Amino acid sequence: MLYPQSGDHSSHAQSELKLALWQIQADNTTSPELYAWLVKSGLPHNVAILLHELISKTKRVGKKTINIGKIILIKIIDFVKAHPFLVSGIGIGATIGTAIITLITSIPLIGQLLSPIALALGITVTISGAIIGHNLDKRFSGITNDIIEISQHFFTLIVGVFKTIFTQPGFA
Amino acid sequence: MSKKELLKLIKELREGKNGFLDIMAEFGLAGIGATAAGTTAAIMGSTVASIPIVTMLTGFGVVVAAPISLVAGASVAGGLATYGLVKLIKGSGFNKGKKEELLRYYENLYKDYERNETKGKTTDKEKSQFIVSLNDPISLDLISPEDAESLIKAIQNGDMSIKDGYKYISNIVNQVKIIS
Repeated sequence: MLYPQSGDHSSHAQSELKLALWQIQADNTTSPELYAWLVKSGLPHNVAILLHELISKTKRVGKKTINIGKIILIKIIDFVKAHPFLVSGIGIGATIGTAIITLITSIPLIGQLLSPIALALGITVTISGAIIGHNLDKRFSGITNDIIEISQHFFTLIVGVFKTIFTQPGFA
Repeated sequence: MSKKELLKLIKELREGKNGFLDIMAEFGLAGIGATAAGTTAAIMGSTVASIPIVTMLTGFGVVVAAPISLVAGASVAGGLATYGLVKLIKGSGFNKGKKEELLRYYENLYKDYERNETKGKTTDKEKSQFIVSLNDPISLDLISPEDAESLIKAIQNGDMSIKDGYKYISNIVNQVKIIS
């Protein structure tokens, strides 16, 4: 019988490949392309600017530098594109807010990258990870958990890969 | 591309009845624009299917059953299914010997490529050899069809070096742990 080495997570090698493929996708996506999408999306201008600033954020993984901010931004945009009915139902800001909540609470290491955007969207993240004061709770009482679940499901792979990579010795 | 299509592509490249570019074009992989590399449209609603496979690996039969843990562990995110969270492969085919055979195979390919790479630009033959080498990892679900397709596009477009490609795949094979 065969098992990968890392229990419930993808093996480190599988995660490395996934990250390399995402980096290639990021390399092939230009900053103006992302900016144009953000501007047309209907987001408040300050939020669009903050999201676009993500593309300058990088992390060292071993000997390589990855464009972690750009990768995350692309995944957030993928999430929005994949959920047109969610966007029309709760709005673009709340949809992106849901993605931000999922990412901050699932991968604490990237919280510092996303916290300015969370603040701009009216999301408060406490030290314990609990979220208070988010517009979702105010506007969509009763279905917030369902919306968050959709987001958690979408980001399962991304969270799994980042957790596997970030918990390896040598990650900086 | 589905797993079946990928294995068909590999089979055609291995047989070499047509030229590399003709075969790649047949599968929609020739002349890929840079923006398409590694990009897959995110479509939610994908389902996680069980992955029972019966496959033939380099001359001998292997029965690889996808157990509940593999199915439960497979996640769907961004429309991309990934395998290998908790992977449990039953059957005697993929044993320590098979693992070592695959690792030696990749080591030799890597060394051969390294010896010849001063020739200059990566040749279609080298690209073809790399794609053919993905047969067993795809068959054994060590790499998902989505990742395999993205990897092939990345190699085809020159976004990833063939050396790096061999390293990623051999590392994945190497990290499959065998327990008795």
